[in-house]
Amino acid sequence: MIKLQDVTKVYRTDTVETLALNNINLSVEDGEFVSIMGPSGCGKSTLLNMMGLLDRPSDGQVTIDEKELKGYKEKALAKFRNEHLGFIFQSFHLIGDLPVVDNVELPLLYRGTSAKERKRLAEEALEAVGLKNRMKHYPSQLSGGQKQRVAIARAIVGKPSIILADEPTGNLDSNLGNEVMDILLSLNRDRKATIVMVTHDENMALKTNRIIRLYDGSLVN
Amino acid sequence: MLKNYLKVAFKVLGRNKFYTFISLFGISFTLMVLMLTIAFIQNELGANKPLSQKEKILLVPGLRMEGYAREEIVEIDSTMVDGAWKYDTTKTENILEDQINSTSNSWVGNKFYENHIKDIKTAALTSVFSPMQSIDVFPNDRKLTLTTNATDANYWRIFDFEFVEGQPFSDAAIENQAFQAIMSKSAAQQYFGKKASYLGEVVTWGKLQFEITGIVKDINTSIPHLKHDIFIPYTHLPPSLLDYGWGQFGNMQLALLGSSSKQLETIRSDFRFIEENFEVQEEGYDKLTIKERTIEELYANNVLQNQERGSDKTLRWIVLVALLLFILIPTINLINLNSTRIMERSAEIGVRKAFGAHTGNLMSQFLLENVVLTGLGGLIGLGLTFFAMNWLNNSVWMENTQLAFNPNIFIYSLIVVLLFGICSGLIPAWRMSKMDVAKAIKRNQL
Ligand SMILES: Nc1ncnc2c1ncn2[C@@H]1O[C@H](COP(=O)(O)OP(=O)(O)O)[C@@H](O)[C@H]1O
Ligand SMILES: [Mg+2]
Repeated sequence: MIKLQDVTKVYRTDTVETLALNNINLSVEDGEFVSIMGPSGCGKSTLLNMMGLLDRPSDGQVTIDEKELKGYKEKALAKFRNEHLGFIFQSFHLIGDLPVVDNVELPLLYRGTSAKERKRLAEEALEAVGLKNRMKHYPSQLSGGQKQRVAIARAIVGKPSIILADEPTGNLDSNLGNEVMDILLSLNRDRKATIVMVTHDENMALKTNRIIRLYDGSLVN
Repeated sequence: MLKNYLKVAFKVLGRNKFYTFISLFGISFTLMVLMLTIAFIQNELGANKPLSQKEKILLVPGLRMEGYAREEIVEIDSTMVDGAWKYDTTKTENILEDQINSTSNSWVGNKFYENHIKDIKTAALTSVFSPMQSIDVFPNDRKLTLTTNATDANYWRIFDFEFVEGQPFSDAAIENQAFQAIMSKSAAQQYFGKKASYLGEVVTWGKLQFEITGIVKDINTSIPHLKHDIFIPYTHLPPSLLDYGWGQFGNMQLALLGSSSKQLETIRSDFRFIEENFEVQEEGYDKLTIKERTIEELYANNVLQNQERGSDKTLRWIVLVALLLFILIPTINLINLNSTRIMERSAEIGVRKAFGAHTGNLMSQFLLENVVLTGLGGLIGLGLTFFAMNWLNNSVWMENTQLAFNPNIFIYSLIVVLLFGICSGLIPAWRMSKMDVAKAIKRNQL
């Protein structure tokens, strides 16, 4: 379970102060598929970053699986992310210098899994997204939809309990977007993965259990 | 993990060939210059024959006499004696030691050596020799100019020349003015033509004839006092060369061997003692100075064109600072290049962090990448060095120099390469791996 209590995030630059999140209270239950919607710049990514422990709140606290993460040091946070969280980004963020299989293995690399086991698990994850025959390809040789499926394989290879997806279909046409959405739905259904997804697409959001709406850094009821 | 890092490392190198070229060129070129410099210094100042004992050798290339300015102080005492003034004048001569009026510098006279230096207790060995003259000889009616050195027997005990054949002068040979000569191999070849052995051959020197009793290998160092074509017993020198008959000067130089480099200080303080107790006889002169130098000081005097004791330390600092600056420039350049390049990879860093990499993981990855880069640069640098040394050794204008590619240099350069890698990688890597994940991912796309 992800729990946000009074979470506020302020970005400070030399000249401006942006209140990106304003006193957010919400929780996501285990096995839930939640979508976050709202206009551009309203703080959706910031909210997801809070849940993904990629950034620290200016105020309030984030709890995942009953663990209060405020006091965690950088190294402990990295370990926690590695074991519990999987990420999918709008622009895929695959490492272009590495072939597909190495990209998928990435989370296992930082877990100290043996090379053989990494390969086996990566194959398994790629099979789940239907790309087992593209293992040796490089990201540049794949289409957008294929890239995002590789990114999904990378997000699930370590069997995290939570998957965080920031506009995963934003860069894809509707056909490919639906393909990706179907994979996410089946992950939620078959693997009981908790998924939080940011999306602009009302139709996609409607397929999830719950829609959280954000406006100007605050939740809208 | 290592394999994954290496894969990325080589990909990154291949991705921007221009950057890689600049980096590799900077590293390898710097390394080459560094290694050549060290090789050059080692060639000049290394513990090579005939200077295996160079740490323990003190040379006296010359003496100096100084006369100080004087002022005459006239005091007049006046007293009234029987109703008339009576004047008493006292003249005192005051020597102004801070005002040098006259100086005279020359080489050392044999008498000074025999009376004051020869039996100095603090030195294990003392030697007198005369490395000054060039002579013309005419083998087969062909003119050949040879540099000469007239030595005693100890000279060969202090400087361990490598004998191709024969041996050094014995004490008896010196004493008896034996007509023996030692030649360098190249000089013997020029004089006699190429032969298997030169022992027993005769060199005609004016009206004198010397039998070759030793052939020494040619030496590389540019330090004077050692590199000569022919050596004869110094007892053949005419008295007018041994001693000029003025001051303590003559045509000789001295070498002393201490028991250790530290112990040379004791010898030096003995010299100061001799100076203090020395009565200068010459009109207008007050003080005699023994201008002793260690081999390194002498070398530094040559390079820095000065006469000071302790120049070796100055030279060492100059070389060290110059080398450091020389390494610093490409290192800063690399840090700069690395910083910009690593920014391009912020998304990769963000993704790696998101999926569980901590600062340590990223640091080791970037360090490895830099070590690979510098390692490559190092290899190329080694190749370049080898090439350049070969070329320098074969070129005519460096005939004194035989740069050797020795393991020491290899170790030095390996350390330098490593420093390169760490310095140029550490700062950008640290900065980058500290970056916020969210910011890093946002920054750009892969
Ligand atoms: N690193 C940052 N520094 C400063 N301001 C930021 C930063 N990240 C986001 N913001 C600002 O915070 C607000 C919310 O951003 P974000 O969460 O990315 O919005 P969304 O994902 O809903 O489009 C925006 O006004 C944005 O400009
Ligand atoms: Mg966003």
